[in-house]
Amino acid sequence: MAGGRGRKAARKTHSMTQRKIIGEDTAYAMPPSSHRKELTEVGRGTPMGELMRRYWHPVATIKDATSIPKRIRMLGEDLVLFRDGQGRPGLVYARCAHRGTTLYYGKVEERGIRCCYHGWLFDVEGRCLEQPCEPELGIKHRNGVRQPWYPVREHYGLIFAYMGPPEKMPELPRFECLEQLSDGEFIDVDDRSIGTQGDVIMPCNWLQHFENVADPYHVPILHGSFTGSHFTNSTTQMPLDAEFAITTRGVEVRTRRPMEDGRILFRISEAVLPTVRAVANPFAPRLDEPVTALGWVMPIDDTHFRIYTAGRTREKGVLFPVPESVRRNFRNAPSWFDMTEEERRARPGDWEAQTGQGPITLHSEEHLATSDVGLVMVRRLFDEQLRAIASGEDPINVSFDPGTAPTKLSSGNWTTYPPSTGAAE
Amino acid sequence: MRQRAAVAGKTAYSRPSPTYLRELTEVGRGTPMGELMRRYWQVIALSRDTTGTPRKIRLLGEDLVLFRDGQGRPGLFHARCTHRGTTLYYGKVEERGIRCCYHGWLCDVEGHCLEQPCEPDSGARFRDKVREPWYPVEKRYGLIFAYMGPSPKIPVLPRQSSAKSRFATRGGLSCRAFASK
Ligand code: FES
Ligand code: FES
Ligand SMILES: [Fe+2]
Repeated sequence: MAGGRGRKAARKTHSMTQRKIIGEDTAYAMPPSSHRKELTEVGRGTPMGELMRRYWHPVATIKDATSIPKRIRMLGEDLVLFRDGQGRPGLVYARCAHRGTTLYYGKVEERGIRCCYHGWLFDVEGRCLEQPCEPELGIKHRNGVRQPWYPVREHYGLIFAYMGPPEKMPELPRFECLEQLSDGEFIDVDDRSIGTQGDVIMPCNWLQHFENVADPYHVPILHGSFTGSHFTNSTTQMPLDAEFAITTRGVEVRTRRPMEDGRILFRISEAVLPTVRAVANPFAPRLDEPVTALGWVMPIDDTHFRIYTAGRTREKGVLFPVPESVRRNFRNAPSWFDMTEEERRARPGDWEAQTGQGPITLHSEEHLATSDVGLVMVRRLFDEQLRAIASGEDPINVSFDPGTAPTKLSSGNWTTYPPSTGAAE
Repeated sequence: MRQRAAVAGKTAYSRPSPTYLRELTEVGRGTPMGELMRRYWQVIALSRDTTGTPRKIRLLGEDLVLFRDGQGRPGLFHARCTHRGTTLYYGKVEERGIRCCYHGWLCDVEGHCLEQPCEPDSGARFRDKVREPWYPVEKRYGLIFAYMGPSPKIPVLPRQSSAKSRFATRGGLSCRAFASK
């Protein structure tokens, strides 16, 4: 046997004496790579950071605001969330206005949060109420200091924060699908990043996920043919057709697929700017009603995000019910958390595909095709909003009128397309 | 004890800031040594570790994926899929090449795109215009060699007479055993 392999090696060696000729375009010729900073980076003073700071964003669930300070990182800023003894939530910059230790080590009291170092006490809007090491508790100077703070509101079971210019603070966003409840329904929340198919905090840029909402074509591959259906057999088929449109609120994607009972499933998903994913349950257990749950993609910083979800349900803790017939195939598979690295490699999902694009994807290397039209629209719409705020206009989906009606979305699993609710003029 | 202690000569305080020879050590794309290294065939793996399961390779500062297609041909790619950049480490190896997990583009070992299943006619109109960044690889002495340099400068894969004779007489000798001799 050893001799046989030796002969084979010798033969090959002989045939290799000729110099190999290759074309010009190996990976050596690749130009240097870059990402689109203005679309992805969200820190203070960046274009997208400024756009994001024109909106209310969920940063926690209402249960996260307690007398124990909680670290929140949002848009690249380190903050501390707490709830004072009077029940008011407060969101403050983590560094104490005195000499900068973190208020994460603070103690929450009736009137606010007290810094551990020299005991300054701040209320939920950052006013300094006490400086115990100063004469008369700092009565002369304390009004001159303010702990940097952000306004917060409790809404749909979530804590929303507004981190932008005060004069541009819009009304809280409201959605009809979260306000019109039928019998027995209530609003529940989920903070485990439904839609990432993996860990709660995803180590990549938020846009990689948000534009995926407008990418129906990854479904039949990644969730379908690649390693077997992740959802129901009908929702992971190649769509019969797909339509894409820029609407008054974002990008709408319509797909049609045959269902097992012979009917056609008309499915609509929406990417609502800046970060709302209106994606109906891919198990499609309830037809012909508006999307039951909305997810907010929370850009923690340029290379991390998570998702908060609020939805109507009849069962506590179940925002995306899985029918028993599918549960047998799908839920018996190991959960992402129980999978080994090798199992995740062999059965990739959204978590792998999106983190696989790197911490921030490299747009210069992309080759977009016709099936990418949805995310091209998402990027174009963001470009328009960046131009709008740069020229002093207000961006899409902000309202300053308290009387504004809740937004009615088209998203859902339908047996025929509903009338469009957001056609762009 | 009240006298000032004097120290002779310079202490470590006054040492200059150290430097290293960048041009001899750094091997990334576009660096002098990187360019030199890219004029040679580099060993990247054992042939027997090159299989139908994609393998991460990091070489000269580049993230690559190595696999062997169903016809036995080894392929070495830039790890990022040329479509929208997810890593081909999560790809599936087939008879004709490797298929990306995200939208299913299939590329052969030289990076030619063979299928784009989400495009009309599987991308018949467009797929020839894209090429997954790839490097030529050759198998010899039970090893996989890769050439990462400019195409016109590709040299002949070097032959080592001593290694050749060992392998000619003791074929199948593993790299590890070879190294320990
Ligand atoms: S650092 Fe907070 S009170 Fe001094
Ligand atoms: S990212 Fe590879 S096929 Fe789309
Ligand atoms: Fe997905």
